[in-house]
Amino acid sequence: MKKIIFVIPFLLVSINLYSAIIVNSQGPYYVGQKIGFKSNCFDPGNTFSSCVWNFGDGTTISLGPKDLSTSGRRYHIFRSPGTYRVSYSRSGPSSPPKCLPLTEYKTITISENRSIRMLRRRAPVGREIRFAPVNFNTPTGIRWDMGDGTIYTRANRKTAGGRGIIAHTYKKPGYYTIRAYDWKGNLKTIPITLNIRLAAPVIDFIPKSPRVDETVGFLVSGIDSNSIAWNFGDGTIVRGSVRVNHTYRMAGTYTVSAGYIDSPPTVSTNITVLPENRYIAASPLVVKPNEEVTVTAYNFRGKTVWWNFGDGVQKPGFYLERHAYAEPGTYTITARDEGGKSEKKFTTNVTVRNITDRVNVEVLEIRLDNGKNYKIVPRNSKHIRAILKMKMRGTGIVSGRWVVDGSPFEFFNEVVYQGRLKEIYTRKVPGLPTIEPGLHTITLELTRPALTEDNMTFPVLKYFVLAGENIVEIISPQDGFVAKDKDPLEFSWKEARGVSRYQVAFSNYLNPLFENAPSINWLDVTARLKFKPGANIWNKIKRNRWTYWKVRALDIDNNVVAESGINDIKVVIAEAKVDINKVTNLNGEAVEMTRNNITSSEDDILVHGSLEYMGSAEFLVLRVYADEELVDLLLFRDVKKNEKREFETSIPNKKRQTKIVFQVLNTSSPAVIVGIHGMILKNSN
Amino acid sequence: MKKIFFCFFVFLLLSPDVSLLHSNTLAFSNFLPKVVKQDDGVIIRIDTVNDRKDFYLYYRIPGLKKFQVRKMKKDKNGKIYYRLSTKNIYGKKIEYFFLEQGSSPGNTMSPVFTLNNFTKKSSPEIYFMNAAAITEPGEEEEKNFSIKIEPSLSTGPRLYDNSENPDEAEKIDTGINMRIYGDIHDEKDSLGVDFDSTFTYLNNPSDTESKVSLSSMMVMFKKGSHKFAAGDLSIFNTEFTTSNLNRRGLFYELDGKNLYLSSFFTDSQQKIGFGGFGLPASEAGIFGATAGFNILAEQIPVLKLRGSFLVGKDNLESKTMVLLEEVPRQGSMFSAWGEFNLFEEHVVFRGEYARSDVSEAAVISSTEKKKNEALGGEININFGAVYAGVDYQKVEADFNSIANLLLQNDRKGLNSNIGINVEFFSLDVNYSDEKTSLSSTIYPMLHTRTLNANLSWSLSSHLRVGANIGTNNLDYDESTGMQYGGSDMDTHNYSANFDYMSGANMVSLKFGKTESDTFTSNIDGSAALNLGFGDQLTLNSSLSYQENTNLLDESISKIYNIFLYAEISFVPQVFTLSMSGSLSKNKNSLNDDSSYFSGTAGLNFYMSKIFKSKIQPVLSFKGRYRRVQYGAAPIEKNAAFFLQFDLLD
Repeated sequence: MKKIIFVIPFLLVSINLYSAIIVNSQGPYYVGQKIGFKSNCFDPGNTFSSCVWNFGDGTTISLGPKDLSTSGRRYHIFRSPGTYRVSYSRSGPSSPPKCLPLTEYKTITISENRSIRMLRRRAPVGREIRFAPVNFNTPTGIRWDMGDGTIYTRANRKTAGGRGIIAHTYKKPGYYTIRAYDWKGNLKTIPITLNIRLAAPVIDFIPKSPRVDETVGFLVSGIDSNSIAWNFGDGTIVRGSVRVNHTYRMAGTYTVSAGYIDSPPTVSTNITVLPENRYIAASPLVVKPNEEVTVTAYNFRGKTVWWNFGDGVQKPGFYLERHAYAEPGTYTITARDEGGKSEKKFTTNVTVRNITDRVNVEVLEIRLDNGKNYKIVPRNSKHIRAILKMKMRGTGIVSGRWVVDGSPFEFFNEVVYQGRLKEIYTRKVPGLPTIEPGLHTITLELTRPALTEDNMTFPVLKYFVLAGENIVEIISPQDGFVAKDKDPLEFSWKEARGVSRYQVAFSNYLNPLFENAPSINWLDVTARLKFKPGANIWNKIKRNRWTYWKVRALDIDNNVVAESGINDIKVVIAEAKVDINKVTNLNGEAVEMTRNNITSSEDDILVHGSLEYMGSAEFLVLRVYADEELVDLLLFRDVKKNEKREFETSIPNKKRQTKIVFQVLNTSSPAVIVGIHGMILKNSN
Repeated sequence: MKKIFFCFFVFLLLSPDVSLLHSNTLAFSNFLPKVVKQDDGVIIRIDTVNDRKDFYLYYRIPGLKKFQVRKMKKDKNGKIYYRLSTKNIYGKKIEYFFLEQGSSPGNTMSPVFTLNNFTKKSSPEIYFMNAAAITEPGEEEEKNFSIKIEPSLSTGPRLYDNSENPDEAEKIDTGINMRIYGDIHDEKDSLGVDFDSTFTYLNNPSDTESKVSLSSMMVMFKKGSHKFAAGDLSIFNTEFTTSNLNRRGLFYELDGKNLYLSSFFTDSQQKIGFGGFGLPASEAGIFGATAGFNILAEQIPVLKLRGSFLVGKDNLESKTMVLLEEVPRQGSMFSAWGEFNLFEEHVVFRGEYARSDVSEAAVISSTEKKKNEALGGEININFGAVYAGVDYQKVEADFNSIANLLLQNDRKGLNSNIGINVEFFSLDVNYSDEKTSLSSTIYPMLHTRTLNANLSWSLSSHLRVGANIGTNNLDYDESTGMQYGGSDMDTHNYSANFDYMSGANMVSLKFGKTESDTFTSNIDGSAALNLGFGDQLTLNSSLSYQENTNLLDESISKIYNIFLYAEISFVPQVFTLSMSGSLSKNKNSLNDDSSYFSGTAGLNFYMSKIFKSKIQPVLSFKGRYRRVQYGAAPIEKNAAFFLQFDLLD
């Protein structure tokens, strides 16, 4: 029994298998696929008079004996997807039937593999969209129903490429179902459909409330192009894709528009950019050296911040950093968002306070002593100096060097004080080189404070040394002249070049005149070539000691253009008295004398005089001059106070007029003049 | 011996002093004198043939050119003699000769004899100085209106230059100046007109220069108390107004006994170039006017009162300035100042109040009061060589002068000094107590106190010593609350100098030390020479040394520098050799050492004498060598030769 139970199902299955139509290939099966069917029991001997194939889609094929003898396989193409029951029925005389059952079946499922493919990513309004039929059987004969009332058939379709590709432009946004009828537009077949949505163009952006300097991402949908004209409303117009980024530099509401460059539509939207809310703050703002400063970046958008502390330290960091400065000064802390990617810099200043000897220069001037950057001087002139004038902050040392003709000339090292102007001159001695004629340059280099700014190139001053000297040549009195205090001298000189006026100065010391010290009292002589001091000036000249004097010439701009050498004179008060008792010729005959004037026709005269000294002296020397020439030198030994000592001397009388000077000296070397007496001798011939 | 005697005789004969004695024919005699020495005298006798003639004794002491002359006498025997008193004759030796003078056949003179040891008494050494020279003053030329033109030229092509810089190597420096000047003066009418202008051409101008420039310019007209000037002005009224205003422009002044008026207009930043002739310029233009009066007492101004007003703007473009901070340069200001003299100017009071309105000043909110005032007052006392003074100034932060770029504002303080100044000695002691950064938001208020003393003492006409001592304390002002231990800084400086001079020669030595406590210590020394040895050699040199120690890191830098320029005259004023050299070394404990050497020598041919000083051409051939070294290797070695021509008319 058990065996029977086992065999029956087996037989049933076997019979059924035996009775199924054989398909020539394994599935799956698709619309349009040519599928071969074959009876499971092929009867090449025409056992049956007729056979009928029914493919389940309304297609039947009846085969007569003749057909049966040729082939057992039948091919069929299903035009629509679905599940079809294919049957094969045999009939007619046939005995005994060779194949059982008489009707075979095969259920076959036809799948759909056709589709419509839109040949662009998005379906924009107003732009041509191409659709390609996929796996269609008659791609060039498809009837296209575009869903907006437009029908394309083989007759009117727009050619957009091979293999049945069609192009269509939708005018309006909306949902559309595209139907494509295969099989040469056979409306009886089930069309292939494609639903598309054509969205209205719209601009979207992120973030919705952007701030100044924040990158805004824009996306326009409903427009599909890689060449969209973007106008961000702040004057920025770019050509880009549907996604672009833009950063607004100022707060405000802007209208952003996007559209095709050459055709509508254009879509716009408003964006409001909020003011910058990022900032950095340091605390405390004033610190001492090595005291920590905390600096915080607020509302920064990136994960890290690029910090520059202004003292050479810069690094990526977080929103809050601490830093300490070693040196005093004012430092600018700079922070850049997004780890330094953001171009915008946020700054705050921190002042590190401590008093040091650092000097900060604010304004500098270098010029020549005529106030200009150019001066012309005669050869060997001492009257040219360069001046550095500084306005600065701080107390400390300023060091540097003057550079003449490109070579270091002299160094300076001066203390400057907070709040005070400082002037530094080139030295008077030895003075700027004026030996060589021609153009010379002078400039400055500061070594302390070391100025490194680009604009710290000092001007180059120029001075032109003329090929010749310009001096004031003294005519009178001669160097070393001794004058009586009662007889003011007249000072005279020759004209120098380019002079507007002359000045004369007296000093009992060489130094002030040599250096033209500011303490010198220069007496104006206008443009005259002589100067006779008035009583007030003459009386100020010290008596019985050497007095130095100098003449200098100034141009119209008060520049010294020439000067004399330094000469000396001595104004003496007569402590020794010289009296002339009588004057005779060599024969002893009296010669006419009125006061200090002698008139004689003799070649030589004899002067008989006496000398009286207010004190006592071991030696007194009487020097007798006829004009400039020493004609006699008399010696008086052991002179007693107020003792009269007589003398006799001859004076030549060969000129029309001779000035006679008796000069009394009371010591040896150097001689000190204690008395002087003058006479005029006239030749009456 | 005879030859010597003959030569000496011929010399005497030719000497003008002797020849002048004789207008007639001179013959020679062989008088042999007989000398008898006496106390305080000598008797000199000669034997003569013709006793009808006059005989003269000429004598002199050695060293004198001139002879004394006495007529000889005859004794009762008719012998010619003369007793010469030697009481007043200097020394112990005389030279003498005789002259026989007669109508026919002429004069006869003897050889020159010498008398030694005529006395046993001593004579002092005498410094024979021709100190009694009397010359007549030169005649003053009558002044007429004249225009003088003085061109000068310098050009120097390079014959050879191995510089790596082609611009440098090919450079030819040429400079031409054309100076035109003249004057008219009429003292009678108190009239004076002066003008002086120089045009300059430079073939290698710097960035701030132009090839052709008016390098100086001035026209000045004076008549009585009126003065008008156009050109290069230097205007100084007060520190707050027009201190050191060096510009080109126009100026008028009436400086009367009781009334004072002045006005100026400048429209150029510089006193150079072609700008600034009074035509308005957009870049710069400052107008100023001052009015005031004097009150006199016995013709001396006792009280002076002035009011000044300035308006305009200045151009910061400058050929001499370097600005590291912005300085306001546009706006207006006024100032009132007065001066009161007492006791014949022995006591002087001065005071000034000024207010400025400068548009480019620091931004100040409308509610904040502008601090744009400045005031100052001072009293100066001087009696003979002694003087003393005190002044107080307060210059607020927003006070700026258009005409004083270097005005130091934002400060207040007292400054005092006392001193003595006689011709050979001066001592000045100065003390100041100032506060700065009065209202700055950037800088805290600072308080600085400075004491300085300067001494100068001429030990003789030729020797001078000087010294300077100073100390300064700088600290935050108490009001800032920033004073803490060690916040202040003391700075001390000491220096001494020794100067020796004689004639045109001078040697100057200077030594100094400056120290900012805990920061820097600096010592420096220098020697400067200015020597002339006749016409043959002129030598000028400066030698300096600096040592700077950073007390924080103990680093030391040392700088040595020698600069020398000299001229040797082979033929004075005709053919000379000029030399200049610079040697500088910098040693630094932190950085590499550096050194610089440059030497130039030139043979100069001065042709002025050839052209009788009508023109003064100079032809020079120069060679230069330069070496710059940084670290171990030289970074520049350069040799060049030039031919230079200079001309002055």
